[in-house]
This record gives sequence, structure tokens and C-alpha cells, in this order.
Amino acid sequence: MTGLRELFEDAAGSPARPSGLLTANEVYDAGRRRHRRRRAATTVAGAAALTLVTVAAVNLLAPVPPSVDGPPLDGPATPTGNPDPATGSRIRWAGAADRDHLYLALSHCADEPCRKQTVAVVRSSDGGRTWSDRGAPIAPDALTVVGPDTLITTAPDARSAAGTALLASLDGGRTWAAAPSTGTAEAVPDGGVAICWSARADQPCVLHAVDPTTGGVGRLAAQPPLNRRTDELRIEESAGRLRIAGTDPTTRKPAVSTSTDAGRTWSTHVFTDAPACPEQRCEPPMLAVTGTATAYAVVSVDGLRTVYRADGTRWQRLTTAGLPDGLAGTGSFVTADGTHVLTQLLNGRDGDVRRYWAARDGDAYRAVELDGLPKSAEAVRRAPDGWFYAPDADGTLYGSTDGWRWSPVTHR
Amino acid sequence: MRRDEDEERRRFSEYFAARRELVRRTAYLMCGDWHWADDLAQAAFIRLATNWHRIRDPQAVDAYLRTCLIRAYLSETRRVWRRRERTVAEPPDVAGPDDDAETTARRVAFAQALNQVPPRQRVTLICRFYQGLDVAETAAALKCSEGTVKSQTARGLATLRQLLGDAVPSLTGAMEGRA
Repeated sequence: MTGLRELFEDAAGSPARPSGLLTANEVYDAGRRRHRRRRAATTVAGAAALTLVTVAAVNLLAPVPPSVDGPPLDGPATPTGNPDPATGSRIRWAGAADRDHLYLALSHCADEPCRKQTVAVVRSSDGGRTWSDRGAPIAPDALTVVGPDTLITTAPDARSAAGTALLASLDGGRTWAAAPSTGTAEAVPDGGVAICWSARADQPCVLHAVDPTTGGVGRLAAQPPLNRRTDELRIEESAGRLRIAGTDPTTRKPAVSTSTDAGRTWSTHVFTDAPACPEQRCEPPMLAVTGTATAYAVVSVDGLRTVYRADGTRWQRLTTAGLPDGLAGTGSFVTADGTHVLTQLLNGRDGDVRRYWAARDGDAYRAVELDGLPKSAEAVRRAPDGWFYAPDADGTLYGSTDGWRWSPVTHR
Repeated sequence: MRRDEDEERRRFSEYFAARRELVRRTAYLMCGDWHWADDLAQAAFIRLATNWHRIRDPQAVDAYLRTCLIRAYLSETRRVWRRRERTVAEPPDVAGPDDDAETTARRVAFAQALNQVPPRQRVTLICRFYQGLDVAETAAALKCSEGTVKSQTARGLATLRQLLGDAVPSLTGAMEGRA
């Protein structure tokens, strides 16, 4: 008989990679520095508390701005015009309003233990040629670009261990404040975006419209009938269509809801031929949009991948011939020429690496290379104007106009 | 003062050396990824070092470090970019130097099943059945009620049973942990 404790000990005894931990002295020094900074910070705590109370009084959506976990980033601020914004830093996130307006969230890792949870945002308005100073440090859960100057993020809510709140920046990530509530919204405003967010991380997210000018957030009056959950805060919009993935609450099958009128009404397609998701864990389909009415959904249940393509609101199952069994990773994107590219995550010696599988017009998938993009690059993303980008673990941002040929945007 | 500081550093170094591997492996059980486990263990030890001078009782040190680790992990599970990257990754199918095929298969199956248990339930199971904490100690580590620990344990075990099926002969020892 195998007892549970034995199973846990077995699993914990898995062959370990070499430890990447700092030495005892390094950890001790980092802890003491943190202690000294926190002690110094208490001297201005009174003034900070007054500020928080003021914000609480005028904000209904998130009365108390989430606390920033950790001290401000150390190290010199990146001077304006520095072409290499990630020097001495790690890119924790990259976003783009379009191919010119780019954002990076950086954690400083040059000479300190790397505090990955706290980041500062830098931006470029000229396609990565020059970058702004670092913004105020924040501890975000999910950053999203709303417009060329507007960002929004969720962050842990100091009032609740399981809660999150929304913060908005109207100056490109330099400063942050709790996002103002605009009440109920009938539709997403012109130039605005839809996000799916819940104050509690363990609850299905709720669709909200974000005003790109004020950063104001309003709950959409019409909510699609899904158990909604997204990995991205922002809902993909393409060719006038908003799409959100989730699971059908009745059948527990994966589903996608689409709105063609800025969120006023929704139509839902349930992938009835896909397996129902396990009781405890439902991964929604991963969506990949194009600049047209075409979109792809990748459903993953029990390690089995199923791919669907929508032309408008009509979904069609595609062959997954050519894909290896047990493919890890459900992310995908669509190149400028309409090829669907699936990402496979592999455990490399020095971290995750990616392999790509491409298919066009329902053909079988085949392994492909993305010219110029390192295997260690993060997931490929698509800006609203069709520009592709992906940060690499080494701190370089890569960009591509077609999804096939890549070149560095930073460190050129 | 300098001598006191040196003594505290020596004490911390000894504690770090004694607990490092256990904390790292506990973190690995939580997240299923060695790189992430290193990050979590490092964050927990740095938080411990921050308050090292204020904690004297060795048992309190263990409990504080455990809480730091749990908080670091649960906090990161809420972070979208981490979830996106990790929830789809499957544990590597790597055999240890002394493993037979059956042992490896059992370990991989269990690791995959554990990876599918929701984070809070997973942490609860790890506290109860890997760290050997009783219900009250687990509740203290998770900052929740004992009733929540019991319900999270039951739901976590149900998930494991559902996922493992016949891959593991029996989980009958599961509830033998201290009440």
C-alpha cells in the first residue's frame, strides 16, 4: 500500500536541478537591507497613511490602493534616451499599444537579490529607439496597455488576502492611482478596451469597459453566460469583435462568447465535441486573433489539444495532425500571412524554451523556426496594429512585422 | 555590537544550511518547477532574514519561514504572467539515479496530479501530509480556520483520487495525519 506521505516524499525527492539559491550571507545581507529600509520608511508612514485616506475618500471602486510589496527599486534610473532599458534588469512584462508605443515592466536584478514581484515601467514612443525614465515601483498582477499613454493593472489588495484592486496610469506608467469607477457601462467607449477582472482571484472575472482618457472603469451591463477566466486582463478585440473564453456552466465544456456591438450583446459558442473540463480545474480556451474576423481557440483538457478556427462567429474544428502527444503549452498566435503557430513549452536546462508548430488553412502542423527569435523568448504577443513582440529572458525585446522574421527592439 | 551582528549572521547561516533543501523541496511540491521553487525559497529566506533578530524560538522560526513560503507562493499564483507560463507546463519526466521504472512512473503521475490540485488545497495537503502538521498548525500557517483546513484537505484529496484513479494502488493512508 502506498500512503500519501510516501507519495509526497517521493515527489519532493524528484531529481533536482542545481540550486539557484543565493548563499546564506547574500540572503542575510538582503534581509538586513530590507529591514533597514522598512525601518526608515516608518518615519514617513504618517504622511503616507494620510494620502491613502484621501484616496479612499474619493474612490469607490478600490477605496484603499494596494500596498506596494517591497521597497522602491534600487539602482540608477534609466536616463531618457537610453536605448537599452533593460540593462541590469529583467523584463517581467512587455506590452504595446502599437509598433511605436511600447512598454516594459522591469525588475532590477543587477546587484541585489532579484525582487521579481516589484517592477517599474519604462516606455518608448518611437518603436524602441529611446526609452523614458523608470516609473514608480508597483507590484502588479497583470499589466495591460489601454492606449498610448494609459495602462491599467491589477495588484494585491491590502485589505484582503485573496483580493485584487485596479490601478491606472495616465502618464505611461510613471505614476499610478486607484482606477476610478464609472458605474455601469452599456458598451466599451470608442478607443477604449474591455477587461475581465474580479476583485477576488478565486471568482470568475467580470467584464468591464475602460476609458482610455481617464482610466475610468465601468462594469459592462451585459455579461456573457460563461464561467469566465482569462490569463490576460484585456479582452481581445479584432475587426470590431470582442471575444472572451470560458466554460459553459451547464455542460462544463469550453466556450467562447463574441460581441460585435462593443459589449452590448453577446453570442456564445460551446465546443460540444471537446471533453468537459475536470471538476477542480477548468482551463479556458486560449484565443489568438488576427486583424480580420478570423480567430483561433486552443482547448486543452487532460493534455489533449484541440484547435478551432472561427470565421466570424462560426467555429470549425481543425486537424491537429502533426502535433506531438502531450504538448505542453496552449499559447498560439497567427502570423501576418494567416498561419496559425502553436507554442510548445519545454523544460530546458537553464529554463523554459519554446518550440513552434505551424499550420495554414487546416493543414497538418509542422515544426517551424522563427528566424531571429531565441528559443528562450517568452510567449509571442500581437499589438492591435498587427505588430508582433516577445521579450527574452536575457532582457531583450524582440519585434516582428510578419511573425516569421524577428529582430531586437532593445539592445540593437 | 559588531560581535552580536556576527553571531546573528552565524546563527542564520547555520539555520539556512539546515533548512535550505527542505524549503526548496517544499516549494517544488507547491509549484512543480525548480526555477520557481528557488525564487520562492529565496523570497521566504530573505523575509526571514529581515526579521531574524526578533525571532528567538526555533519552532517559531520554522513556522515563520513556512508562512513566508506559503504567502510567496499563493501571492504569485494570482499573478497572471506567472500563471500563464506555468499552468500549462508539465513536470519533467526525469528518473533519479536509483529509480526503477515503476517508481519514476508513480512519482511523475503523482506530481502531475498534484499540479492540478488548486493552489490553496495543494498547500493544505503539503502542510498536512508532507510537513506533518496537524489541523491547528496548518490553520496557523495558512491564516485560516481549522474548518477551512478540513474542507480544503477533503477537497484536495478528492481531486487527487479523481485524477490518480488506479495509477496509485491506494490512498488509504491519506487521512492518517494528525487531527
